[in-house]
Amino acid sequence: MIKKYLTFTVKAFQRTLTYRFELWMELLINVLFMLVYVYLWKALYTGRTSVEGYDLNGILTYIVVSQTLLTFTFTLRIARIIEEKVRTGEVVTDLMKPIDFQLMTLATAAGTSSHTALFNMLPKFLLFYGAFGLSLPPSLLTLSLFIMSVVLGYVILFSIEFIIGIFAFWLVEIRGLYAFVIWGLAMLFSGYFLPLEFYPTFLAKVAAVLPFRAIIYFPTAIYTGQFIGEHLVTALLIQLAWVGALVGIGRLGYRAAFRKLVIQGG
Amino acid sequence: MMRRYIKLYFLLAGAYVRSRLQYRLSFGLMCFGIVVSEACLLGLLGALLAKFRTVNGWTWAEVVFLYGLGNVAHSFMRILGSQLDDFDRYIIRGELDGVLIRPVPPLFYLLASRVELIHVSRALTSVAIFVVAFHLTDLRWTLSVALFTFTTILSGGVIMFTLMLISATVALWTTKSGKLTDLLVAATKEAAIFPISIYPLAVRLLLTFILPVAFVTYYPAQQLLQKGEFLGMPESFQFGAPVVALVMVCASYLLWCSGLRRYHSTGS
Amino acid sequence: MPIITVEHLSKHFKVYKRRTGFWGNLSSTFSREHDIIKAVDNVNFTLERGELVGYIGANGAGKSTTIKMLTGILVPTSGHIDVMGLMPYRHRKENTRRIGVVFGQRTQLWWDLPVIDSFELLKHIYEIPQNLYKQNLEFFSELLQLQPFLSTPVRRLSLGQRMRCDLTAALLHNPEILYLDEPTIGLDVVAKEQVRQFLRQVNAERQVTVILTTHDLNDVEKVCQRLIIIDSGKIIYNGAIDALKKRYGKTRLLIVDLAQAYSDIQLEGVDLTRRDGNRIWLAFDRDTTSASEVIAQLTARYEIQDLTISEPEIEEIVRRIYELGMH
Repeated sequence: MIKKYLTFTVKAFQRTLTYRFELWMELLINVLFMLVYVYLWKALYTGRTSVEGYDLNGILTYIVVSQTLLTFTFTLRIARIIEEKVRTGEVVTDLMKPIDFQLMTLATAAGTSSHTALFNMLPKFLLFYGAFGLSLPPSLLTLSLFIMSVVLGYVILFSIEFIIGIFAFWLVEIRGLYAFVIWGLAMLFSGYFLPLEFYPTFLAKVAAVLPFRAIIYFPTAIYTGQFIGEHLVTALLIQLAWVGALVGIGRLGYRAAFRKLVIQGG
Repeated sequence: MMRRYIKLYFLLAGAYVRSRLQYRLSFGLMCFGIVVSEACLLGLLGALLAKFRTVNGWTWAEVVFLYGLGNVAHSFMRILGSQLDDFDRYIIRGELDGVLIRPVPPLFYLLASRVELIHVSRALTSVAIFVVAFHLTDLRWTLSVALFTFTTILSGGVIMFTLMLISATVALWTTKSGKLTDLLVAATKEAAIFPISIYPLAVRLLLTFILPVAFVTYYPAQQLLQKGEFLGMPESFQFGAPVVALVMVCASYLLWCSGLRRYHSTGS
Repeated sequence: MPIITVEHLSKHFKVYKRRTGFWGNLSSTFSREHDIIKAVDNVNFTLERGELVGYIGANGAGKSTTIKMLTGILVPTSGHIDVMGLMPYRHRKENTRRIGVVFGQRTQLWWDLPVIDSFELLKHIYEIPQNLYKQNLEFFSELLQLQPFLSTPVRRLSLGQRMRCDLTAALLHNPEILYLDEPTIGLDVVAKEQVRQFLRQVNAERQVTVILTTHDLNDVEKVCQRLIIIDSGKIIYNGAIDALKKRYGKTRLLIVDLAQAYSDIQLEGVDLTRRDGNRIWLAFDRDTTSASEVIAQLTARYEIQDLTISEPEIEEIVRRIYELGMH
C-alpha cells in the first residue's frame, strides 16, 4: 500500500535529477537572495544588541532558517501541475486509477521536494551556518521537534496548493488565484521576511487566524528556541489542526471535482 | 519599416490581451494578488524601518525611494518581457518552431506575442510608491531632476530586461530554465532596493559589474539624493546607467543570437 | 529547374545518456555522456514545381528533421539545400514568405481567439495586400466550408475543423511550397478524406508544390504522385507509388490469435513474420495466394480464436524493401 505511493516519490525524485543545470543556478540565486537579507539585518543591528527578544545571532539564524524553508514555497508547483493536468485531460486517467489522487500528488511532491531539501536547502543552510556562525537548535529534542514541525508545515503548504489546484476544475485558469494566495497571502503571513514579533499588531492579529504562519514561522521559531514548553506544544497542535482541516477540504474538493467529471464528462 | 513593426507589435500584443481577457476572473484576481503582494511587502518593509529608523545612514524615506526606483524599472520590464517568464516551456512545447516559420525577427515576434497586462497593476503600484517616496525625501520636481529620473528609470528598465533576456536565453542551451529567470531578476531587484553599502565588497562588485542592478537604483540615487557614497567606485557611476544599459543590450542580443543559432542546430 | 534540390544532406544530434538506478541518476547530476544520432544521413532528392510528394517513414525515421531543415528551422550538419534559389536557414525571412507550413500536432492559430482573428493577424505578419487576402479567404472558406465557425475560438474547434483552418492559415499568403508535417494525424476518416481532397485541389488549381510527411500509407496512395521513403535517416525508395506497390505492396498481412502457443507453425506460401505469445503475423503474396486459402490451411491444422487481414503498414513495406533489395 505505502510502497505503491513511494514509487511515485522515487520517480519524482529521479525526474528532478535530470535537470542539473537548473539545480546549480537555483542554488546560486537562492544564495544571493539570502545574502541580501543577512546583510540587511547585519546593517540594521549595528549599534543594537537585542530587538523583540532577538539578538543579532538569533535574528540571522531566524532569517536563514526561514529563507531556507521558503524554498519549498518557491519550488512546489502542485497547483500549476494540477491545472496543467486538468487542461490536458490527463487528470481523468489519474482519477480513474485505483489510488488516492491526493495521496498520489503528495507522494509525487514529496519526491521533488526531498530532492530540493537534499541538494538545495541543506547545502544552502550549511553554507550560511558556516559563514555566519549561526546557532543550532538548543537540544536534540528541539531538533527533532523542528523537523516534525517542518514536515507538518510542508503538508499545510501542499494542502493549500492542492486546494488551489482543484479550483482548476471550475475556473480553468488558476494563475490569478495562485498569485493571490501564494505570492500575496502566504508571503506576507508566513513570516519569511521577518519574525511575526516584528509585525504591527494588526497584521500579527490577521496572521494568527490564517494557516500561513504554520508553514514557516512555527518551525523556525521552534528551531531558534523562541517557542519552548507549552508554547511549542500549542504550535504543533495548531499545525496538526490545520493539516486536518486543509487535507479534509482538499479531499472534499477533489471528490466534488470527481463527481463533476463523472456527471459532465469534464 | 519601423511603422510596420510598431503596428505589428500592437496587433500581436492586442491579440494576447484579448486572449487573456477570456478569463476575466483569473485576470482580476491576479491583478489583485499582485497589488496585495506589493502592498504587503511595502508594509513589512515599513514595519521594519519603523522599528529601526535607519539602515546604514539611509532614512526610511530614502530606502523607500530606492525601493520605488527598483520596482518601477522592474515592473515596466515585466510588462515588455512577459514572454521571458517561462520561456523554457515555450521551447519544450516546440512553439519556437512556429515562430521561426514567420517572416519576422524571432525575438520581436516572441516579445510582441505576449504582453501581460496584469503587470500594469504592478507598474501602477510601483509608480505610486515611487512618487510618494520622491516627496518624502524632500526632492522637488525640476526639469533636470525629471529628465534624470526619466532616463534612470528607462535605463533601469532596460538593464532589468536584458538580465531577464540573458537568463531566459540560457533555456536555449539547457531546455529547462524553470523559474530561474524570474528568480534571478527577483533576487537582483531585491538586492538593489537596499543601499548596496550594506553588502560586503564581493557582493557590491557583483551588483555593479556582473548583474549591474546597482545602476538601476543605488548609483543614480547618489545624484538625486546627493548622498555622495560611492564606496570607492568612480563618482561618474551616478551617470552610468544609460551606458550600462547600452552595453547590456549588446551583450544580451549577442547571447540571444548565439542561443538561436544553437536552437537552429539542435532543434531542442 | 527543380524547385527544391537536396544534396548530401545530413543532420546529426547529440543525445545524452541517462544512467539508470539511483546512483546512476545521482552521478548524471554532475556529468553526462552522449551518443551521436544520425537523424538524416546523406539524403539526396529533387522536387519539380507543382509536384505533390509524400515523404514517409516510421516514427523517428527522420521525416520531421528533413522538413525542419527545408523550412529553415534547423541547420544541416552537412550537405546542401536549395529551395527556390534560397538557402532556407541563411535566407530564413525571405524563404518563410514564400512557403506555408502546417504542423499536424500543433496549431499555428491563436488558441483563445476566433478563427478569423488569426487570419487577420497573419495578413499583417505576411503583409498580404487587402484584396488578395479577401480573395483568398473567400476561396478557402468556400472550399473548406469554414464559414460556420469563423468566429468560434480555436480552442472550441474539432480537430478536423482546426486542421482546415490551419491549412487556410498556411496558404493565405500564396506560398509556392506547402510543407505538411503529419497533417492527418488524429483525424477521423471523413476529415482525413477532406484534407486529402483539398490538397489535390490546391495542388492542381493553384500550382502549389506540396510535400507531406505521414506514416499513413492511405494519405500517400490517395494524394501523392511520387513517394520518398526514409528509414533511419536514409532514403530507401524514391519513385512512383504504383511501382512500389507492384513490387513490395503485394504482401498482405494476416494477424491470427491461436488458441494455444503452437511450437511449430508450417504453412505453404506464407511467411511467419512475427509472433507474440498466441498471436502470430503471417505475410503472403496476394497474387499467388488468396486469403481464403491461407485461412483454410490454418483452420485445418490449428485451433483459431480470432483473425484480421490488413494492408501492409509502412513498417512492413520498409521491411520488404530491405528483404528484397532496392531494385
